[in-house]
Amino acid sequence: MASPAAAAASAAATKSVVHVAGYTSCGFFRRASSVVASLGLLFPHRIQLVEHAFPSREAYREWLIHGTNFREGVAKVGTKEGKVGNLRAANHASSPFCWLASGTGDGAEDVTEFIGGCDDALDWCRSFASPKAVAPNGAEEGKGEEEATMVPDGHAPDHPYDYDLLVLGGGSGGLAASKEASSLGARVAVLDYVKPSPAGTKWGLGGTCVNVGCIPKKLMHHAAQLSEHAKLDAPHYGVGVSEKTAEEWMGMSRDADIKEHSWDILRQNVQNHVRGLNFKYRVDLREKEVTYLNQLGTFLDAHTIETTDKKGHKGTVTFSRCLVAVGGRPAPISCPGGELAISSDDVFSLDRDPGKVLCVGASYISLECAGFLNGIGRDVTVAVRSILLRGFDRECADLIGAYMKSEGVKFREGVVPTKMEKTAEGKIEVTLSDGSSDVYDTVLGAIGRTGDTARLGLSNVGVAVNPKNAKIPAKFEQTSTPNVYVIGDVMDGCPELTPVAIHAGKSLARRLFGGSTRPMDYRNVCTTVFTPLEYGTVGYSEDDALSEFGKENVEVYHKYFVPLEWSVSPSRAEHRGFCKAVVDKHTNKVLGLHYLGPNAGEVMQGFGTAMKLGCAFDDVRDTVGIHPTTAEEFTTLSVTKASGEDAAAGGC
Amino acid sequence: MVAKSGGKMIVSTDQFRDEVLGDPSSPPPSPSSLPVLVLFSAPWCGPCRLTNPVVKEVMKLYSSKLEVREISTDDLPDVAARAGVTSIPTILIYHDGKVRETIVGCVAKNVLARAVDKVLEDLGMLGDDE
Repeated sequence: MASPAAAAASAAATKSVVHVAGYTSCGFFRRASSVVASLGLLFPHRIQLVEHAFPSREAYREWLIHGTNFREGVAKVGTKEGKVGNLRAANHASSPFCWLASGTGDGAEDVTEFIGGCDDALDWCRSFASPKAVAPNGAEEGKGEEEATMVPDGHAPDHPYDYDLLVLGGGSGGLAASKEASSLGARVAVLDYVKPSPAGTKWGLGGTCVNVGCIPKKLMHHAAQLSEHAKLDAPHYGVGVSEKTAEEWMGMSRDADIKEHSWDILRQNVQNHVRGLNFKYRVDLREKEVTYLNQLGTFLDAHTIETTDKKGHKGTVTFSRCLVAVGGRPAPISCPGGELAISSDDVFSLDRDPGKVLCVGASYISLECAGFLNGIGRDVTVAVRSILLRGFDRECADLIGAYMKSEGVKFREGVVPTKMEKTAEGKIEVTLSDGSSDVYDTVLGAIGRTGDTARLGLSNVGVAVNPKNAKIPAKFEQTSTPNVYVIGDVMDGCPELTPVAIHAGKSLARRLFGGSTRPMDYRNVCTTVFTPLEYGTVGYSEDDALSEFGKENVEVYHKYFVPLEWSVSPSRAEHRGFCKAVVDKHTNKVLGLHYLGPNAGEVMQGFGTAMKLGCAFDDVRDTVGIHPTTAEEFTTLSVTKASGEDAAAGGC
Repeated sequence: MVAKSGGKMIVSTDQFRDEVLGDPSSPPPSPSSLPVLVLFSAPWCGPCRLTNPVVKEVMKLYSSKLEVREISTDDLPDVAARAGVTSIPTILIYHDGKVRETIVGCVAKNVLARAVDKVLEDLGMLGDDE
């Protein structure tokens, strides 16, 4: 909400002083005048009527045309001396004659805009009184959208520095911000430098998402899905089999017994694609006229960065404004021998087959990796300290765990690794806190990520850092040092998602160099976890909704369903999808949506827009479903948790 | 070092300047008065690998009339960027430090051969043999 001072200032700036001149017996004059007067009663701070009533038509025309020639004065406003600019005003001869002015005086020199006659005045009044769009956060009409009020950072177009904007980090957020800023005319440079992981892995331009995150993850998840389809589905659809082979098993088709999977081919093709993206981003920056420096940056002061290139040569770069978009890195496992573990930084380019794997952690990174490694046929165990997917909807997290267990992923719950040792064969023996131990080819640590701020020199520039996660707190993406900004994973409180960083980066660039005041909207961001049973969600989890609004104010609709394509495969007999809507009981507004099933990301995207528009549950229910799909299950939700009725879906 | 395409690998900016652009400061006779076909490629690029045999065959066809070089955009990104390469494979045919022909993408042997013919003809180097 804007401060009182700002509100008063904006009100004063937008008060319209409407002048209506005419003669008293003229009906049109009286009509225009009374409409403006009524608006003035309704919105006294935004509109004021100044009436110029002449006793007769002659007196009016004497003033307008023949004597004072007021209309010519108005027609010449804003033009070079003596020239008539506004022909409409110059030729207006009827009553009334209406205009906007900067004050209540009756001089032509105060005129800011010529409105016209009665019809023009009424049109102007209609548009003045039209309802403005209601802001997505439900802000009341007239209160205006929330503005991003940033602290002035002293940027001036004639500053003496090398760059208008220096971006630290060439990932999703940094690249988006740099390209947007450059397109708005700013002189921009991006510093991107990948410090090798403890296991020695490095990668090119593009950040976490492109190199060791979303992109390779989704490709490998797809590999697992393909395996699952080939084994569990294809044979039952007649693909890759003949009646003869089916006959051997009581005339029924059976799952394909595919054991072979080439890690080498998967890794190579995934990495080739990633390298292609690295190349594309380099070309992209060049085309958008953003300078790319493959150097590590450290702050020396609020306008200077010391750079180090891969050969160790140092230099300096100066900037008016700096954007920190360095993202995060995996937290290492701290037990003795923890350095034997790899992380998500390494798994997607692992130069040997992962073999038998232990995934330490219950984050989505751990579960997604465990999921695809299991899906491509590797022996996978997950060591969980307490609960799965902390921060996500509890019911959905448990369903994901149950699905993974049924797929053969082993879970060791309530444990952490206490020791890791290299064996004579070069494998890793892991001892857990419950005393048990086992030998693995690979240990993947995914216990959390921290901001990559340790060697940024932030203390030299007075930027505060949250000691718990090494991330940088900010307001409207501005840090405690006004000309240093932050977006993406390294910003404290920012959802660790590529599209969020991209949007925040573009929106910040528009505010810094495009005169925009719109803040980034972090609410109702839809997201998907690509575990073997995919999970898509937007808005509140059931747990958060209950704790924030109270059980008596929340209604939960839920349903289990079997995707049509799974009905033909006997091995999928126990698999089910699930969807849930968390609804505000009194306003019917949807607080959160949850979906477990195939193609969760595709299913969820459209609902993201619906949530942005503040959809009600009835809106979802009134939407005609697309049949046969799994997404349509949302449109036929009807059973509430409170009713205790069976949530399994019925037939067509 | 011979690259997969059969051409000599260019591994430094200096080498590019000397062998492709033709260093104007080096004493005459200049290193090569022949046109130089430069293949810009990278190991991870599928279409580049498909282009290798095409370049090899063209190299054989024009063995006395054409120099062939290869540059990895991973190793020399700045050389590639300055040469205006925005996608790979890209073949630039240079003569006297100037680009005479540009072929973007993987092409068939006869297409590449025609392009080389065109350059040689423009330079008056297309012989009467064959």
